[in-house]
Amino acid sequence: MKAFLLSLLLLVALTAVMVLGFRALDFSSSTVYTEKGNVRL
Amino acid sequence: MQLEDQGRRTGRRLIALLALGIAWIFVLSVTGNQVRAQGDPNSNVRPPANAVTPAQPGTIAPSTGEPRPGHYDPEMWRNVRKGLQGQVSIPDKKAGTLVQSGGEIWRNTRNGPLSRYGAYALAGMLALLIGFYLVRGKVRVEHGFSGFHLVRFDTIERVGHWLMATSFIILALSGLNVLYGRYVVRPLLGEALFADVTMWGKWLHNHVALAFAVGLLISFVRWVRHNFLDVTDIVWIAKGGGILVKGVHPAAKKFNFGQKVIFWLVMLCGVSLLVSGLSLLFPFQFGLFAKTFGAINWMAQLAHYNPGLPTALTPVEEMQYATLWHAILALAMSCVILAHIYIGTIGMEGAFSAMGTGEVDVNWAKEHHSIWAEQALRSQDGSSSGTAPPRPAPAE
Repeated sequence: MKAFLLSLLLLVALTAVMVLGFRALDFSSSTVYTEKGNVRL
Repeated sequence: MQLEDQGRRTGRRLIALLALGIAWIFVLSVTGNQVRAQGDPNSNVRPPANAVTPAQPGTIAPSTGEPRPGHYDPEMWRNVRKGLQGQVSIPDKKAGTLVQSGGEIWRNTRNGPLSRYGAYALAGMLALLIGFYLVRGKVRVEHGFSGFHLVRFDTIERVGHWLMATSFIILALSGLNVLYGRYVVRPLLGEALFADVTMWGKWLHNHVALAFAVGLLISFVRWVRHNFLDVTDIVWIAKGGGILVKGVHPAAKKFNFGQKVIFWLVMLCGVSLLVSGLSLLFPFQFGLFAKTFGAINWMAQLAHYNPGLPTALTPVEEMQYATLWHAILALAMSCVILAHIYIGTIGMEGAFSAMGTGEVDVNWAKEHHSIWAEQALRSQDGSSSGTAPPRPAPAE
């Protein structure tokens, strides 16, 4: 039981890491391809 | 009477005028469209001098015997339809492909054979397990529980296992919803709730992947040394693992052959799922399949065989292969995990506690993992300075 709860805690923590990581990469914005390069909106 | 006749005549005239007006408006609108289609001579807008006048619908342009330029070249459009890659000046080179015919093939494959045979595989595995349970029943501890326990998995091993298991269940259910939800879940939940469930399921699917990767890594590091094949596995296979016939218990170390197969399938499928999933999380960034196909072609040529797998893939084709491969692996792994869950829970008495509490009954260990049980008992004898538990059943 202790191991299972620990694994759930780890699951939540690692999921939070992914959420923060994606936010840091700013995937909410769109990429527009232009002749001058890729522009994020 | 005279007044009534005059009224009727006036009414008829008004109706006639109205009909004439409508007819005139209709004629004007039709002819106006034709004038616009042919080009208004009074307009300042003029087509370029080298513009080709389109043929009227239903007519065939006269053949001059020379290739027709621009968008009237049927051969060019035939090639565009087949995925001809053109030149673009922007960095997004995939924009040079106007018609990606592979998309149609991908969609037909995903919604056709992939979904169909995936469903057959999952249903077949469930039917097989139910049939096995009905025929064989629960695999019992034949000597009964001794009441003495051996530590089978420590805390780190169990954390790794449950991390992998819980994340896989989330990934599998949310992934199956993407493939089959519209057929199975939407009729049950309704469109609005299904849309919410699918949206959050996809969000979870994207974000739980790291937990699965960490669980996979912990399990690999802790168990890989116990999962290399050896001679005991041949005997185990010859005796059908001891689960087909009662009273047969082939010797096994910490993991038997069946568990080793599951270990390697989970590791290989898991890594491939993670890599293909990564390429789906970051679209058009990786060219995995062109390189993989190239490696397969090269290896096959060593055996004087040329599979002819395509090695020049566009980024869109890479994504299409990645989604199909991701789904195939996930379906295969789900089938394997169904069998694993069955044998670890209702299929075998005393098995669940190995991952539940980390301990197993001594008699269970002697019946299913006799070599490991002997080693564990010896090491327990040594560490407990002569206070070892009795040995109720002989190891077979």
